[in-house]
Formats: sequence, structure tokens, C-alpha cells
Amino acid sequence: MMSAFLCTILLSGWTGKEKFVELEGYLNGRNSANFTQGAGNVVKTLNKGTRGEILDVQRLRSGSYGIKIKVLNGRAEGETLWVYHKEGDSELSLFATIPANWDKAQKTRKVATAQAARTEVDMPAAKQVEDNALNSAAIQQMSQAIEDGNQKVGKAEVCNTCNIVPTKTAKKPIIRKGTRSMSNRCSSLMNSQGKMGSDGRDVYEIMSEPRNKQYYTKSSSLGNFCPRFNQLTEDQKLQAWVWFWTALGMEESGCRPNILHGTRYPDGRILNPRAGWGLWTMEKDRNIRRDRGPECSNISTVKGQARCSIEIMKDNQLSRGYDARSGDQKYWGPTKGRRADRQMMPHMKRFVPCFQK
Amino acid sequence: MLSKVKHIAILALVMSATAAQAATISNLTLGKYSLVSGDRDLCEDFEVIQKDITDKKVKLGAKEFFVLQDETTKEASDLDANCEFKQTSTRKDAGAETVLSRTNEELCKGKLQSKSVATATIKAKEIKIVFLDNGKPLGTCHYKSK
Repeated sequence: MMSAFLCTILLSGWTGKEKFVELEGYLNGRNSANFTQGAGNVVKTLNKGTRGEILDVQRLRSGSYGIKIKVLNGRAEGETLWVYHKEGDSELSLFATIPANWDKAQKTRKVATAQAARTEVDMPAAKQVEDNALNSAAIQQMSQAIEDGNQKVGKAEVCNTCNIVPTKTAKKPIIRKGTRSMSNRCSSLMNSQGKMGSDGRDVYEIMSEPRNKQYYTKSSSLGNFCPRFNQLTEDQKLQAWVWFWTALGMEESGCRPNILHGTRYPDGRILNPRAGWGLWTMEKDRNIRRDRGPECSNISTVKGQARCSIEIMKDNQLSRGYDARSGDQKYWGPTKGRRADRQMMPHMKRFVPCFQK
Repeated sequence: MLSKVKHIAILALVMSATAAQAATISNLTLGKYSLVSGDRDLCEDFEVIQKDITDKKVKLGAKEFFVLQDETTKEASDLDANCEFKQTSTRKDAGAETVLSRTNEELCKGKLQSKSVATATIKAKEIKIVFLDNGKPLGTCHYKSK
């Protein structure tokens, strides 16, 4: 009779729409529901205030949960990541619907030392949670149990022995120190901390366009400029490419967007068949660029130069089954043969996700 | 009447022949071309695939486009409002050989700033491209198909 009573409470209190989370503190975002130390699957640190849509939930052997979310804001926006949730001690707030204003919204629940919640999850009236993925009804019942627990106790202290490791200070840099110099001008693309500048964000967005993304995120598209490419998230892959363009911009022009490139070196050696312009040495002659398509029609801005360069890489190599390092018809000298080893590889090896063990 | 019909028929034949010639480049073999001689800073191996040939132009390698008919085009510069770019393309077919040339000039307020010429001689499984830079030889790239 008691279980039926509690079951009634659960059913009558539930909206059936709990689908969103907001982080109350820093959490590791992982690419699988493995939260053990040494799992090596941490993709990104998610900041307080990160919001997500719940896609899936897995109950762990410890009795806690992995929640798979699609990130809705912040620098991980669009990514699908797993976060850890422990009953009675969680950094997550759960919502039934997207609040009209996240900042002002009154959260429907906060996690507490949820003795009552745990009990209610274990009640026969609640759906049993197995060691496999929960369906949405189970997610709802879990959320309702948490809310009921919250009403009885206050917010818990942060658990320092849990698998969740607040990583305020533990954030790994994605660019390490290198042996080949890079101008500060290149920071407009990506700086030595791995942060994209405004030009870098333009490059990222252009590569993200549907007509380009399939080539730039395809398997091993950076070749041995990034050996771990296929282990990266889509966001990391595109950031690796932004770093590639940064390195290439350094080698082609010292990251100068308004520089003229001649046909010969000062010592008389051939440099280009025709005059070039800008960060990545686009053909100065607009008639020649017209043959490459509308993406190359205007190189008066960095964004225009980026669009043309991305098109050239795609047309000459990526769409022909080659990667950035392979194929016969590379446009840029620093990406060819020994010059690639001498000029590009020292820069590329600085990008930690491409080379870390 | 008969001479008029004959005249129209001949005209139609010439027009179709010209169109077919412009639309194709029968001397060009698809496939990979290796550098036989030439400066590696200027020349590099390349591959010609079907999508490199359209009815208007052909792409030979990473940087060389050639128009498949006689043509002159002008483009206003996107870098300097005082300048424009002029391209003059020619085509000559002589039996087993097709010669395509492209002259590119930059003119600012009517004055010539720079001029480059590229001439591609295309035979079965063989291509030679000669480059001139402001009237002086830059280099010659000689390729053969594997």
C-alpha cells in the first residue's frame, strides 16, 4: 500500500518533460560513459552555466549516472558529451523545458544528499534501472525522485572524493611550446594558448559549412600533420585545421594579409609562376582566380582569402581522395616534401590533441 | 535556292565543328603526369581527371587553367580600385598537337604593371608548359603521362 502511495506521488508530481540540464560547477565532458580516472576520454572541460539537452542516460555500477547531453551554449556548443551525475551530490540542475530566460529561471530541482531520492528510485513503483541505457520514462522517474529529495534536504557539499574533478586549474593547454617561431600577428587566427581570434573563427565557420565540412572532418584529412585526427571530436578536428592554416599563414607570409608575393626569391630562385597576394599567397590576378570559382572572387579581406584557400585545398587535394600532406598537386610550397617536414611539422607538433599519447 | 541551302549546310557544319573543337581537347590524355624536366620550384607532377576538363577550360595541375577557345576577358581588381586584370587566351590545333596560351596583364590607370604568359603544348601523353614573367623566361615544365 505504501509503495502504491509513493508511486502515486511520483506519477502525479511528474510533468513528463524533463529534458535539459545546466551545470552548477565545472564538469568534464567525455566522449563515452566511462568516468573512471585514467579513462582518457575527457574531451573538454565544461564551465559553470553550460546548458544541454539530455539525449541519453546510463546507470553506472556505482549507482550514479552518466548523462549524455547535446551542449547548447559556450565553447562546446553543438557537441555531444557525457557528464557525471551522482544522486545527492551533483553539479547538475535539471529542467523540464528550456526556461525562457536561463538566468532568471527558477530551477526545478537541486541535488542533495538524497537518501529519500535513492529510496524512491529503488521503490518497486519506480522503473528499475539496469546497467544499460535508460529510456525517457526512466529518465523522468529519476528526475522526479531527485526533485522530491531536494524538497527535503539542502544543497550538498561538493564531494572531493568523487570521479568528477573540477578542472578550473587542471585545464590542459592545446598548444605546447614549439621549436619554430610564430609571429604574434598569427594570433588573429589562433594564439599560442589555442584560442581562436576573429579570423580563426571565420576560418572555422567556413570549414563548417556543409559543402566543406564533409571534406575537412573526413578520416585523416590532415594526414600526418595530425596523426591522432581520427580520435578527435569534430570541434577538435576543425580546430586542428585552424591551427594548420595558422601555421601555413606563418610560413607563407608571416601572417600578413596585405603582402605582395613576387615570382622570385631575392637570390633569383623561382618562388611562384605569377604574383601572389596575402596570408596564403592567393593568385593576385582575378582572371586566374575566377577559374577557381566564386569562392576566390574577392581576396581583399582575410575572410575572402580564407574562403579561397579552403576551396583550393578541397579542390586540389581533399576532394580527390588525398589529405593535406599527400597528392601531387599541392598549391602551397611549405606543405610539400622536405619543406613540410622543416616548415610545417614543427608547428603542427605543437597542437597537443594531434600528437598527445 | 540550291546554293542557299548548300551555303546554310556548310555554315552549320563549320559551326558544329568549331563548337566540338572548343568543347573538347582530344589530344589530352587523362591520368598522372610526371615531371621529365623543369625547375621543381615551378613545376610539379599532377593528375588530370575528367572533372578537370569542362567545355570552357582545362586545369593542368594545382595552378594552371587554360581556356579552350580564343577569348579576351577583363576583371576589375578587388585589391586596387585603379587597376584591372586582362586575360587573353588563344587556341591552335595542328593535327596531333594543341597549343593553348594565356596572357595575363595587370593595368593600373591604363598603364601596364605586370605581364605573365603561360603556353601549354599538349600531345598524346605529353605536356610542355612554358612560362614568361614580364617578357623574360621563367621556366619550362615538361611532363609525360605514366
